[in-house]
Amino acid sequence: MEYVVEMLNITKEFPGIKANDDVTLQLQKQEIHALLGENGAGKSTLMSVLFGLYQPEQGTIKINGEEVKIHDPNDANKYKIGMVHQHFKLVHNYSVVENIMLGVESTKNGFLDYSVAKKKIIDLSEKYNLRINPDALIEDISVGMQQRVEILKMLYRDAEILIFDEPTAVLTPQEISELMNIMKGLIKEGKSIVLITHKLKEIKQVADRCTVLRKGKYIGTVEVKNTSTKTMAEMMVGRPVSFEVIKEDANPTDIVLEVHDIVVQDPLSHKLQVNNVSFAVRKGEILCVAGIEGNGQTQLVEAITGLKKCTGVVSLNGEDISSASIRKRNNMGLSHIPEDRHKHGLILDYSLEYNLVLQEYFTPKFQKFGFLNNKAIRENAVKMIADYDIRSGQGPITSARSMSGGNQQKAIIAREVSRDTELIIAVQPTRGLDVGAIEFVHEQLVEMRDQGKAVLLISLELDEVMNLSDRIVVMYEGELVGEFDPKTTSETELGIYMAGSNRSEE
Amino acid sequence: MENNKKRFNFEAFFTSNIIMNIISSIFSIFLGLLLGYIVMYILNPEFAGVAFRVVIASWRPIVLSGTQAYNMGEILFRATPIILTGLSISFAFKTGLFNIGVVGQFTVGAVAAIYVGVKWGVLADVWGMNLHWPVAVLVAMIVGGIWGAIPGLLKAYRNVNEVVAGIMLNYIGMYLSIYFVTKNIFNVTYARAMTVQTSAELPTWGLDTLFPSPNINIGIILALVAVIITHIILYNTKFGFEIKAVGLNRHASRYAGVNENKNITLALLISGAIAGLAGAAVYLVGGKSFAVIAVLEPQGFTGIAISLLGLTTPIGTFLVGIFYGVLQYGGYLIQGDLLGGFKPEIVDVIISTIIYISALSLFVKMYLGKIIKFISSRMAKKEEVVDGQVIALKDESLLEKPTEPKEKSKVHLSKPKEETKKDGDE
Repeated sequence: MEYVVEMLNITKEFPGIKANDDVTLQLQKQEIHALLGENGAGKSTLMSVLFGLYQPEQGTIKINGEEVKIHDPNDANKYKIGMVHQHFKLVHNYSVVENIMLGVESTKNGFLDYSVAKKKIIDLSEKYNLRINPDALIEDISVGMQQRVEILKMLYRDAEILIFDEPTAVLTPQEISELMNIMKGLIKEGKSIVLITHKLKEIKQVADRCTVLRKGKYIGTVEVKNTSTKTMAEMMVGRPVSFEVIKEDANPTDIVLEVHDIVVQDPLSHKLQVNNVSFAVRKGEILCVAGIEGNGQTQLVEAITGLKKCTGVVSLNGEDISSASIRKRNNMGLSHIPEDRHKHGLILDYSLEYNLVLQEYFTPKFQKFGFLNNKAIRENAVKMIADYDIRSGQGPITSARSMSGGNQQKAIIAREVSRDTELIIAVQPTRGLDVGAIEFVHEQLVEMRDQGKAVLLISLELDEVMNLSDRIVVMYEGELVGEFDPKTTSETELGIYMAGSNRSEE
Repeated sequence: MENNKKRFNFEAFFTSNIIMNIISSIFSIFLGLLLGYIVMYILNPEFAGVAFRVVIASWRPIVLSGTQAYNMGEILFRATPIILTGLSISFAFKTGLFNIGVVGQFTVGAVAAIYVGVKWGVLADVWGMNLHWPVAVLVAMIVGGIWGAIPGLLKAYRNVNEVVAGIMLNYIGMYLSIYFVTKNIFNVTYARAMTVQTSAELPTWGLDTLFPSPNINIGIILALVAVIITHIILYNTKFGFEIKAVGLNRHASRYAGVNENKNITLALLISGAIAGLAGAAVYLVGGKSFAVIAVLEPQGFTGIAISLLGLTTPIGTFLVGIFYGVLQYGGYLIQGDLLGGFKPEIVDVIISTIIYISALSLFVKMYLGKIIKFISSRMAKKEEVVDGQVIALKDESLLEKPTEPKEKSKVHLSKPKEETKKDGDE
């Protein structure tokens, strides 16, 4: 078999840690090769070695059978290796064309020649079916289109080997399936792709082969066709993983949260982001608000938690809290796992122990006469770290910034569920997490439900919606367009409502 | 394994933020002094060496000055207002605010203190107690606090940038003070504000026996107390937890139910009160009078520099403030012809050079990090040799490796610095 890229026995060390330990990756021509592993398994390090950002201590890299040394990304370019990073590297106030030609500008008599570049870009975009608007500014286009611009950037530089680093993390379900088609189209045209991911479903959809890493070590390479997702998950995590959320039937009792005719208006555009939404969540049930990103779910949660002003009535345990302060709502038993853990969930430069008391530092348990009880704060942190298996470099005093995404989320969840609350609002609680961490989050939410708390889950992942919820409402353009029982509905049906097709019926 | 652990700790200690910051501050001070010396050498090569030694160790008795104790008194006297204005700025910095309005708060505080000191002589004997100076100090703090709360309120409730509001209020405060002084407490003969009554002067509480300088008073004790109180507020109280949280991440603080508007306002109010205290400390002194000229008081701006150099922490500000006092007094001493007749402004050259270089702290930190990693890898190597586990390849890689990732990501700024680094950390 002919390999376009061979990375043989690569070892890359950082002080105190072996990020890659004797890892081998062989990429065949015209295949989509998935690189699977949990966060921190060394996937990105391995690809950074290939891209010339790091030099390995041991091991060889062969391109088309020839041994090469890749010292920096320019070398990588030379060997026609291109990479789409998870966080796009685009100049926001430049147009699509300008971004693509940046660094390899075509010139005529010393002046920039856009027409040549633009023609090449349009040709490429037609050839690979990458819909873009060449003259639009990056800041005006969707995330999906930005990603296509990144792909075009590689193709414009004649890349043959394409590395995609977690490409679907930022995309909507529709954009994901479009990307999958683009990737299939690319290999048909003779390109070879390495897909870094921890989402098994996507691997099953597009990949031909899959190499699994765990804690920097090479676990194996498998044919995706002949391997079940369960096996791959087990290879990745190192133990059997359950995808099914095991839970009993819900036993809902009293209403905890009730919202009535909530309206949130965007102060600038006067658009109604949330339009007359009413629903109730009861004790002992998980109600899920499903919908495609940007249909008002964020604003709805902000209205309920008090982060945003709204009209309408929000009541908690029968008490009207529409005009209560955030602190009051929190104290009345509302706990909130926020969508953006870096913006809202954590103070990144505070230590873990401080972050763990962010909602409780003012209670008599942690302060007296205005003075913090640092001993109690430390004890609380030690206990939570043990109870919720939060891993960090230096224990309670680790700064939250230096923790991995999964452990940051664990810290937030630990803080929110350990409080004595009656309602838990979890907004995309598993976004960007790996299989093991997702399992943890789901278990916690079900546990909360079983303890008789009300859970309001906002999720974009249909799998999660179907698995976890006891009742589903679908939100589309700020309105609730339907209510479903997960036992009787299907993903297809939900998808239709999420896309707004059945709006008139409701 | 044990080797690894040891090496890690060594690195972790020296690359921890606090230590790195302190080292880079010291480095800036060192370079600033060096450059100051070069300037002095260019101006007057003959006396540069002697004068420089006087500047950096001005507490040592020389012919021109008094005893060491006397000199210390002079240094503390000069350090006091700078520590306080620096403290004022440091405190606001912790809330993520740049209180450039410290100049105005200082001025209005000073004028308020002078007014009380001139007019409220009746307080000199209240049931046998002299409440004159304490009330003057208190009023200065209140007025300074109010002046600080204005940009705070504007920021909190109208999102007006506190720097713009602060600069405006500096001028408003200055002209208002001139107006107020000429109207109420003007000494026509000298065209200055009247001097405060003796009962309003800050007492010495025996400090004058310890440091026999005519200028010494309890101002330095007030400054020390303010430093300790702000330190406690910032690091041990609920209020400090909140204002630091607001400064570090406003959104998360709001999410956690912190009333950010209240905290911003309060932080600037306290910052202003400290600035007002600085004003009182400068003018509640015998023979010192407020000049009625349209010039912004320099103490405020110097405070910014001191605060930055003190890493915007109360204790750091105090230490750097003392250091500034040393330089200032040194600058005063070298004016004489005996030492080459330097101008005291040379001290400002040194201080501004230090600030200028401290802006390079990131650069300093980067190289320091490399050096420390190099040393630690050397140490680890030695230990390995001692253990008899010499692995040739490992040794070589240890020497080169630590510098590599950083270097690469520096050169290719557009490349995935974040992810790659993160991956490495994990």
